[in-house]
Formats: sequence, structure tokens, C-alpha cells
Amino acid sequence: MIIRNSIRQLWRMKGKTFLFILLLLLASGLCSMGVGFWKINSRNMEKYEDSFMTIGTVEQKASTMQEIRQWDAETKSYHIYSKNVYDTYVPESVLDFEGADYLSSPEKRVTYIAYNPDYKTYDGLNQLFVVEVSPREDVVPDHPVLLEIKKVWHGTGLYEGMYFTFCSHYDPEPEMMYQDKTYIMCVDSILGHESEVEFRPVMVTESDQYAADGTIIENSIAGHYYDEVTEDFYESERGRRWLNFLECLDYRNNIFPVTGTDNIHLMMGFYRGDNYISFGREFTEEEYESGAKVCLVSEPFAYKNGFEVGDSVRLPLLCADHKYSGGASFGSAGFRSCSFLNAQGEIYEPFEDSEYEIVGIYGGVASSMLDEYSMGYNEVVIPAKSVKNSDADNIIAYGPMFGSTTSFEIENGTIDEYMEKWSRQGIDNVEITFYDKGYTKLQSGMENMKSISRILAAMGAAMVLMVLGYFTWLFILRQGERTAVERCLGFRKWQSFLSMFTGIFLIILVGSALGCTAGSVLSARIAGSMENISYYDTTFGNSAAVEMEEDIELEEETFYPVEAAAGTMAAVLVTGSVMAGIGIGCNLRKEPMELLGKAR
Amino acid sequence: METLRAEKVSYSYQTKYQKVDAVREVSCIFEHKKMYAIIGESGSGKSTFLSLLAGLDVPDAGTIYVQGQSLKEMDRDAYRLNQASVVYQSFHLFPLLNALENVMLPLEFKGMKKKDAKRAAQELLHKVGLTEKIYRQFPKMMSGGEQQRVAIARAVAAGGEVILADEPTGNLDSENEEKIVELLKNLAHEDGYTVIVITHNPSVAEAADHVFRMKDGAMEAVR
Repeated sequence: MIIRNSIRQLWRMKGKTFLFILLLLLASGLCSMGVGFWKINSRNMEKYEDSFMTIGTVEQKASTMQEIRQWDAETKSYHIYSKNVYDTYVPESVLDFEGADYLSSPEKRVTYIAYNPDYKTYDGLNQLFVVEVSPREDVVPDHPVLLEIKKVWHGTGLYEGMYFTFCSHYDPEPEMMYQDKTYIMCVDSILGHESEVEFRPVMVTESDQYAADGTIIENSIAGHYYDEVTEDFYESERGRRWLNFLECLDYRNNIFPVTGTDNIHLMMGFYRGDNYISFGREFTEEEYESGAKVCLVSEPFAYKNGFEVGDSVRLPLLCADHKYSGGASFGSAGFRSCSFLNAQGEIYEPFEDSEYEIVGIYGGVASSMLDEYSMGYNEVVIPAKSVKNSDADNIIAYGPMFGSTTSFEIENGTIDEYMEKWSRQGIDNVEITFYDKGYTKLQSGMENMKSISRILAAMGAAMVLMVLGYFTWLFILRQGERTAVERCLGFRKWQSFLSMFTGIFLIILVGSALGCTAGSVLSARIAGSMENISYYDTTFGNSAAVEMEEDIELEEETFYPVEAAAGTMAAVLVTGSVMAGIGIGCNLRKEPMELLGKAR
Repeated sequence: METLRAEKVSYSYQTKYQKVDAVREVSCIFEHKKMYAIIGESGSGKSTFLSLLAGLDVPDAGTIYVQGQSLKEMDRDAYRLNQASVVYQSFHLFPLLNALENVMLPLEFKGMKKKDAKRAAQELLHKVGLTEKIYRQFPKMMSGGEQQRVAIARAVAAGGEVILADEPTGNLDSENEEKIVELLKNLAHEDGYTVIVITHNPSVAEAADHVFRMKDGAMEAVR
């Protein structure tokens, strides 16, 4: 009866009641919209956190440029090109500075070269020939000259007694060749300027071996493009070098790059999504940490060798490249030339030889050209810590930190903070370039949306308070007479409270429910329409920006922030109830006669 | 038969500036089937005494007995619900309820079914001289006399034996005043109520069976 009567009396004030409901609807709607935006925003941020990743690549700037002159016998002139020179190599430890919070610590990846004659890697590479030759007459081969083949050590298509055209193309002062002497040389064939096949020497007996500190180890003997074959030549150190070279010449057909990493997404191919796991899985955190003997192989490599997920591969690591990435050295058409002989002219022995389990096979574009930021042809990826032995005696190249080999991961949205701390280190010969797939741009939009949502929520909350305050005054404080008469009629305090409260509560319930529902729907619709945008990857950093046209698909069904709406509604209800309760309490604390305005 | 008895009832309150002894050792007896008038100047303590009789306030000293039982020991809400009703000068009807609903409210509140309450309310309204035309009207649509009659009907509907009326004719013209006084008299004499009226109006006092005067919180019998 009390409740019915309470509602009836409100119903008799249709105008005021509807006005109250309408105002409360607007106010709570505004509030709910703000909270809804905030909730959607927070949810999107969480969602994007999984979709986005911020990595920094590190590159040491060259100290100077050095002019390199290469003789071209054809034009009788030097080709001049420049080469970066580094006074010292900046260690990656400079990145471990105070306040640098990495999700994945900086790593300078090493590309190991594995050799396994059981695995197919390259087919039909350009052939090198190793032959013993004699000139028809005494000659300096600074121009195309005819040489007679005395012996074929390696290569098909050349025979004893055959003549071929030879030019010591790159040597400005080649040594005299005598017609009564025999020379050993390694050559490859190219088309000369008159479209004739010409053979040019390849320097193969000189090694580029580096110590662990990056200094080059001097060869025990200087390399020659060709050596005279004397009677005991192959017992001499120079002769043994040729024999060793011949022994490992066929390694070229069975080598493949192996890269160790602490996070495959630090490798640009995977980061950009050019490469992806097509079968199996990525490494687990535990596998990275423990250095488990697990690996990822490329689809072509798996296909050629019949590998499947779960199979084992043997990875004898022959040498280590501390300079170039797999992509910079291994393309589908060939690989960067390197010597498998050490400074003493001996063939490198594998410094580590282990079985690895294939846990995943990755697909993606393998560039035929050498591209330092792509995965190398046949590249195998392993956890960095899985290589237990030192490669110090097997280093074939050593260089500074390059963007393609050195990277780290930081939390999304912290580029500016990181760069501020980095700039305080005062290291100006190291350049850091960030890639965040457009997160910063998106974050800026999100921050704006967050500000808008805060303003909306605050305005809504203020409006709710004003509306509730006004109506508490109008419906309750000004209705003291009603409370007094009810009390005079024998209503107990709680009954009087209930009589007044029920109607008010109902109005607040209706107003806030409608408002919060409307606010929630509106916020979802507006946010949904704003979300239908493709976010493009952008490079951020202290170098020129590079657009990496990669779409990140974020569209999905409209998300209605029901919890936010319910929370807002509950807050409005509680606030309204408290205010109403206080108002009614004020009336009930007064004696009925006082409320009736009677002078005592 | 004694309905209400006040024994040395005193009540004081504190204003912003001073302590006011509104009621000072008032003793009197009110019997049923009688109409009493309490007269006095403004500020003499009449309304305060009435609120004490209605159980809306508690005396600082002394006791009010209701049919021999101390009001202090009674549930005052229940007392107002079942034994005493108050009629005001300003009527104090529920503005959002019509005449019928105003009278039905205490009946329903006491547990009467809606249908029975409606019938009883109609009878009461008829008894106080209101026609059916008025039943559905809201207080602001009624004249002062009609409103006061609805207020009296509501007081009667609340039941009990005591009707306390605070200046019931204060806002009425002489014609309506007479009707209300007659109504109150009938309630006392015919229906057995104890009617206590606070008034400035000599003609209302004249209609009462007994008259008390209050001055500076003290009460004396006039007749």
C-alpha cells in the first residue's frame, strides 16, 4: 500500500516526474557514454597491446667513409666506391642504461653457418673452377689471354688441353705468367665486353678470420690469385691451402644460415609479418630461457629435405658471422662469398654439432636478392641460448651493430620516454630506429578519446549530481509536510521513509537505466564507427620515417560496454539513493509539528 | 469517562537566543463525548501542548495518561495510528491524492482492503457533508471548508477516541466555520469522541463543553 501510494503520488506529478526522468536520462546517458568510451578505449588498448609490438633497431654510425679502389682491367681504370669505417665497435651493452625497461633485451644476433652434406640447400649455383693452367707464351694477364688447361681440379665443362680466355681482372699489376710453368687458379666465368666468355680469378686462399674482439687475424701467408705449381708445391703451406680449399669447395652446396634469437619477433621478417609460422608453433619462453634444442625451419628448406614438425635436424655450426644477418648473406640465388679456411689455411671444424627438434615451419617471402632485413634463404632459427660452445675460433665476419642484426623490444607507447633517457646517455654514434606498427599514432588517438571520455563522464556525473540534488530538494525536502502528516497519521519512521523513497528510487531507476543503456549503445556505435580505420605501420625514431604498408585487422563485432553501463547505473542509483536517504532523513529528524511550520 | 489526563506536564525548548518554557506544570482531564476548547494568545503554548497530547513530542516533566496508561510507556506511533488524530488549521491534506484517497489512506494503512476502505471513506465523506462530486477532487480544487471537512473525515477514518484540532476554523469563513464547529460537536456528542480544539475564535470556544485558557505556558480552566 505504501509503495503503491508513493508511486501514485509521483504519477500525479507527471510533468515533474517526466522532466526528472528526462534530465536524469540525459545526465546518466552522458556519464555512461563517457564511462563507456573509457571502457571501450581501455579494452581496445588491451586488445591492441597484443596486436602491436614496439621494437627498436640499433645501428652504429660509421666514423668515416673510406675510398675503395678496385681495378678494372677492361676499362683500365679504378672503380671507386666507398666503405664505412668504424674506429671502434660500440658494444651492445651501451643499451643497458638506467631506466631502460626492455621487454626483450637488446640482442646482436649472430648468423651461424651450418654445413650438413645430408641436407639440400642450393641447387645449380654458379660454378667455380679450380684448374692448373699454362699460358701459350710468357704474358702478363692484364688483358684477356689464352691459357691451356693442364689439369681440372674442380668444375665441369672444362677439360685438359682446352684453352680458355683469362684476364686477371681486378689486379692492376698482375704477375707475369711463363709459358713453361704451371699455375693453379680458381676462376669463374663471365661475359666479357665483346660477349665472349671470359674467366676471372677468384681469391680463395686468403681467409677473413676474426678474433672474438673483432680484430682481424692476419693470414699466415698472403693470398694470391694464382700460384705456380712446382714439384713439391702441394706439400708447401701455400699448396696445402689450395688442397684444403678444394676439400671444402663443395660445402657451398650444403650450407645454410642458422640464427640464434631471444625473440623471433625481433627479426624484421617476423615482426613485419613477412614470415609467419605456417605449421607448428613458436618457441616458448621456457625454451628461450633454457636454450632448448628446438628450431624453426623455412618452408622451402623443409620441403626440399622432407622435414616435418617434430623431426630432428642436425646443425653442425661451422662458423659464425658477427656482422651480417642471414638475409644479408643468403638469398635464393646465392650467398655472400666466404672462406671456410681459417687464418692458418685450415678448414674450420664445427664448434657445435647438435640435434634440434623442429617445432615450427615458417612461411613467407624469401627474397632472391640479398635483403638484410629479410630472413635468409633456408635460414634456421634457434633460441640464442641453445648454442653452448664458444664460436671464438670460427668467426668469419665481424662488424658493428646493424639494424638488421641488433634490436630490442620495449613496451608499447614508451618510445618518447625511452628516447629521452637514451639521449641523456650522450652516445651520438648509435642510431635507434623504432617500429611500432602505428601504435604511437593510435595511442595519440586513444589518449584524445580518453580525454573526451573523462570530460563526458565528469560532465555527466556533475549533471547527475545537480539533477539528483535538485530533485531531492523538490521531491523530498519540499515535501516535509507530507512526511509530517504521515507521521501524524501514525506512520512509523521507516514507513514514512519507504513512502517517500520508493517513488524516488523508481524514477532514478528508470532514468538511469534508460540513460545508461542509451549512453552505452551510443558510445559503442560511435567508437565502432571510429574503429573502422586501417592502421598503417609507421616507423618512428631519430631517422627518416619509412612506411611499412602493413594493415592490422582490428575490426570485429561492436562491443557494448555493458559493465560500464551497469556500473554507471549502479553509481547513479547509489548516489541518488544516498541523497534521497539523506533528504528523507533530514525530514524525519524533525518533529512533525516543526515540519508543518507551526510555532511552538 | 476519562480519555486523556495531563499531570503537571512541562515542556521547554531552546531557541537561538533563549530557553522557552512553553508548557508549565499543566494538569487537566479530558473525557469522552465532550468537546474542549483551549484558548490563549499566540505563543502561549497551546500548539505545543496539543503536540504533546498527540504524542508528537514528549514532556520534559509530568505525564500524559491515555485511558489511564502513561503515554511515555506507549508506542506513540501506534497511539497516533489507533487512538488520536490531528486536524490542522491549514488542513494538510495530501495534495496529490483526491478527497477519497486522502480519507482512504489511513484506512488502508491500518490494513483495510481497498474496496472496504473506499466504501468506508465514502461514508465518512458523506457524513461530513461532502457530495460525491467532491470525492475525486484534489485539495487545491476544493474550498477551505471542503478541505477541512475532508481533513476531519480523514481524522475520523484514522479511528480512535481523540480528535485534536489545531485552529480548525482559522482559515474558514463564518459559514464554513459554523459547519465545522457543528461537525466537531457532533463527533463528540453523537459519536463519543473526545474533541480538543485549540482556537482563538470565541464562537468556537462557546460551542465547547469546557474551556481552558493558556497563558505563558500555564493553563487555567475557564468553564
